[in-house]
Amino acid sequence: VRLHLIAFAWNTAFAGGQNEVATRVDVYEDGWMLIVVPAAHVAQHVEKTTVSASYSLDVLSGATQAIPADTLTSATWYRERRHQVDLAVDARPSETYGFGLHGSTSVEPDYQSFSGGVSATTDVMERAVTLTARYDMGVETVTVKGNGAPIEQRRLQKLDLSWSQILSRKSVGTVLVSGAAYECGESLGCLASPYRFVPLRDDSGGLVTVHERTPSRLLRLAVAGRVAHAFNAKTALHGGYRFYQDSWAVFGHTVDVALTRLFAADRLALKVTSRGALQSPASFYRDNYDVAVAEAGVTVPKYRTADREYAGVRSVRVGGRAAYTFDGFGPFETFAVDARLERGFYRYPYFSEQPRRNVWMYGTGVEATW
Amino acid sequence: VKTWWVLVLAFATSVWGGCAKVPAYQRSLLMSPIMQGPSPLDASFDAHVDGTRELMNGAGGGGGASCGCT
Repeated sequence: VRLHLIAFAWNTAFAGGQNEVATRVDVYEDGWMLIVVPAAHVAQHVEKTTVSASYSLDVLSGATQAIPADTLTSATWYRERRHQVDLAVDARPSETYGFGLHGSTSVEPDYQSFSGGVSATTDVMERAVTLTARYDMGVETVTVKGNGAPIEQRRLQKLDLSWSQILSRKSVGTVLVSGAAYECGESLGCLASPYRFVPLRDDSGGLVTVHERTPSRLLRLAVAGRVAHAFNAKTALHGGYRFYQDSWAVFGHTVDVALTRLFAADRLALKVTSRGALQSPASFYRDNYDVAVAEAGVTVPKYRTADREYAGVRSVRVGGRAAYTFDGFGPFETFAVDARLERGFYRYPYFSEQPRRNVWMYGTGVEATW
Repeated sequence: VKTWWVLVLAFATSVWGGCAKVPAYQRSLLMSPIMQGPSPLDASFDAHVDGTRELMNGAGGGGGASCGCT
């Protein structure tokens, strides 16, 4: 009764379109790391405005290797939590245009980020084309675990543009362009970890380790094209290609394809997904940083990293999802449960220490509308 | 660079001029659930994993259609 009263009060206060609430738990594991991610999302229409909020918690447990050249002895086991909150308000004062405000924060023991931005969307050409622009700016702070003292601050700006067009009665195409600029401190650089060390080998085979350091500026550009095509009322194909380039000389290509099919009087949706990615190494990445020892000491490369993600990646991920929609009950119009399972194969051809990583991703969730 | 712009121009021209106009009452298939992208939580988890495993970032999501059906 209490739940019904709350639902009644909620609906009375915010009479509008279809609202939704969802919660799910997803898991990622790759042999080194296990991440459990419970999350929740709610979206409520208030006349011509939609208010949405999401929360997710990453519970990480696993081993991190401080020195890649010495995997076993340098590995330390840890458990961490990361909280993320996203809030958004989207207003649609007219049938043909709208705008929004959004903010996001992420907090973990040695890292905090805050970002916010604005977005605008408009429908043109008899509403066959939707143009969207979104601008974000944010601050990330790397801190010392335990006392929260800041080590380095990073500022980012991001602009996303999209053009979505109805191509036919059965097809929609979208072009997306995304640019991002990071300005970071000199001590670590952008994206570097204060807890990761890079092994440097001298001529005699001696080993010296130094902190990871990357350039203090990173510019990113990504361009993508996507198509969604419905073969009929029960089957649809989604596909996309993305090109990526950044100022660290990283180039990348990503392709994804998904096929969705409805069964059981359209209550059961089965989806097969696949994704392939190819990424080149960063310009300053080396599998081994060889240094010469002189009388004055060791000359350390200005930029160096031990992160395998800078080494270039080839990956394939395949999986499936199933969702079943039940009749609504109580205040809910629909109620759906879903489950997903994916297998990923990551290969790092220029990271000789651990050139492969195989991952499992799985999860389940419920979603209701009212 | 010139080839790149020619390709972009050809794509934009074909998209702009080559698509049949679809009246609002014929867009029901485009608005069906099978044509929509992943849910916010699904998309967020995927983006989080991809952002951790790769340096590539941006131009994600999309693929939805303007309703145009009201």
